[in-house]
Amino acid sequence: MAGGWHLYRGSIRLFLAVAVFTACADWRPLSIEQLTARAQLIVRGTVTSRTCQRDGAGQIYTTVDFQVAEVWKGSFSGTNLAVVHSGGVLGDEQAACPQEVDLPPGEEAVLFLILNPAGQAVCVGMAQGKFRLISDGNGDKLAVNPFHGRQPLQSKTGSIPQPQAPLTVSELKRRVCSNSK
Amino acid sequence: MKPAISTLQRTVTACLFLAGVAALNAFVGSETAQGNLRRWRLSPPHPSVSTNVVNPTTRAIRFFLAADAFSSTNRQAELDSIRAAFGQWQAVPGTILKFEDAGLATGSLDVNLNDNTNLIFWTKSSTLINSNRTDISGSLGLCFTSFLSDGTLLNADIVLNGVEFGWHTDFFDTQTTNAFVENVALHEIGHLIGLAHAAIGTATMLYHGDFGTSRIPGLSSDDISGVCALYGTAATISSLGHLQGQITVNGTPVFGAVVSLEDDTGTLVAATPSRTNGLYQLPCVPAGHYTLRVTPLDPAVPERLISGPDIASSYATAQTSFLPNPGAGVTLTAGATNTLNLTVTNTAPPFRITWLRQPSALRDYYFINTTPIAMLQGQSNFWVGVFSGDLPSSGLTLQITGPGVTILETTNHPMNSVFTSLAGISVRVAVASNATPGARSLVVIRTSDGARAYANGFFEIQSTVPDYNFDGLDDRFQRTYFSPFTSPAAAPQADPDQDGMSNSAEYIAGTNPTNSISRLAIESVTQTINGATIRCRTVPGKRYQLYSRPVVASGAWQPVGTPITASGNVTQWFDPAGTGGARYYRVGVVP
Repeated sequence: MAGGWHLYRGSIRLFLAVAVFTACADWRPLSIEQLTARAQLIVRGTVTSRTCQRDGAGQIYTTVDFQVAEVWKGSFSGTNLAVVHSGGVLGDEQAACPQEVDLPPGEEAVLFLILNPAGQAVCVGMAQGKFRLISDGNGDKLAVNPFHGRQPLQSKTGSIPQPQAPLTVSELKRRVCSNSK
Repeated sequence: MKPAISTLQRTVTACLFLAGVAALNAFVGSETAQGNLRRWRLSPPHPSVSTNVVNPTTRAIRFFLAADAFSSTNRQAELDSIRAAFGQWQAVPGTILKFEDAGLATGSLDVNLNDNTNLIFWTKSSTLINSNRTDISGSLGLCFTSFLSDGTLLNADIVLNGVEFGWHTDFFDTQTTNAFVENVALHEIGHLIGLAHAAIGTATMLYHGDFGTSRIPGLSSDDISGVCALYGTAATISSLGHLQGQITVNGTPVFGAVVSLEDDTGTLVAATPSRTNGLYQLPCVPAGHYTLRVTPLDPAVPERLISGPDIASSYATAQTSFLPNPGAGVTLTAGATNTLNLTVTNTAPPFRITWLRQPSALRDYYFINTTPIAMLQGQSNFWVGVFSGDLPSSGLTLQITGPGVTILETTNHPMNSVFTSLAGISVRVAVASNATPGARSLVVIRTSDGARAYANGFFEIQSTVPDYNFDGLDDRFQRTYFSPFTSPAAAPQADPDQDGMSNSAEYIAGTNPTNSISRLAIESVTQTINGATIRCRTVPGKRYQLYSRPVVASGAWQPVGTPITASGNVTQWFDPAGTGGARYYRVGVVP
């Protein structure tokens, strides 16, 4: 009987090897590695201001002034980087997209960016390309992105990955730098 | 100087408005920075809105589709899939919501919220769109809108990601992992009409869904409540009940508490998160008796079902550390607004549900994810369950709300016994054939102290006859013969092949509604001295009954013999009574 039980347990192991994370109807979030691969420029810094304006076609967009403290990938020689994103508010008119990145003045963040043909920086995957930095209460900083860890996962071993510890900024930097060489 | 002042004013305006506020209503409505619900003004159209966007005569929202769709080989079906998605929103009864296919757009297409054109298109060469200011990597679809501070929508564009993802249109293809055009379009059109992401599992507006063709294909009661609140006719709104109130903890408002309204069949009719002042509104739900439940959203950690940011960025600071309140009863009457305030206990929940075990007939086959569990009326002996990293290893029960779902057997899964770092509980269930379709909830209860965790609306009972365009006709029949399945030609009383049989009649008869030769018809009656032989076109597998009467206009139709199950395209009856004089026959399809 004992042998039968163990065989039975073995068969369980075969069957349960299918834990799959199901991604979004409108999102299939990028992993840190995918963000890193897609980004031309990855910087740590602080939002100093943002300005809503209209382009030549009359569309509302926002330009964010980002004070760069560190460059993790790519090259950037100045101090203030212009980041653009869609939407904003001008007078009585507003424009929005639910997944657009929000960069309020004063916020410290790590941004994964690509450069558009005009040389402006754009967040990779909109809100996915921003990791907000907050204090962990112990002298370190956590890098927070609600989509971090939500990338599609499929295990060959029969178990989903261990619950992930909060992501520190140093761990994020390590993962970025180890994947951007 | 003037431009400088203007820039300063704009900056100040942006800083004030971009802070945003949380949504208020049942379902979750998208709001302006001033807290007004976004919606199209249709009756009458708003004077600021272009007539190319809202037709002032028909009062319909106009949309243009990109002529090239996603592929050259499946172009027409891709465009029809988007039309079907518009059709489903428009089909919600009792609203003024109407769309108008304005035609095809060609050329170089991009998001432009200032061109007075609502456009739906695939980007196929680059994920960098919207005048190179938006990178849509990782997104299947996105909806961009412009609107006034009073909530009036002005312009909307939907972009689908054809760079990173493949797309398909076959509703019956359950194997493909390509994105199903209709599902994604249905979700994005929800944003286009003013809805934000939902707080319950089976809503179309849930922030995530299946790969491939969704197992939850149509609009939920929560989505419908949203459409009725935004676009309901006066008669509809006065025929529905409305609920509002405040959620507090120790006298302090709770922000982001999910308030769910469950009817006596256990169906989750609508849900919404409370706003920063703890207030909530659940308008436009059918009158009746309900249980109002309050539960916390999940923290924004990797293992979760729904967290604040999954609804909207403005919910990132939702309070998640309080015990669920299992509820209070409330009776809503038509046209009236009730007020019900509830309190919660300021203690972190001891456990949550973060993974759902999808139905399996095998006790030892485990497939878990975060999408709703779907079962059909009448399905039984399927295992379903829940898992999480903080569930106790024993001493739990798992319930599914409402009658019609019988728990046949329960199995606890101690920590690490099935999945690393997860504990769970499974039940073998039977869904009654007459169980009320809709969104149910999964409830884990710790028997020692009654502590609970909920997966709100993450168990859907589906009708065996799907009807997501609310016209009473089986969607599968309409999808088989019509594209889009929501088109006027697919309507129950339509007769597009002009053979004298409506689509409803062709559905019952099993005939092809687009082929006039395919119809239920008596082909010949041959009379001899021994009786009459009646030949009828039939569909193999269908059951038929022959009737007769001697007078054409009166008298009861009498069955001739017993029902026959057809084995071919023609079935023949012999009536020994049909030997002389006039006799009239008809054939009916019987269950």
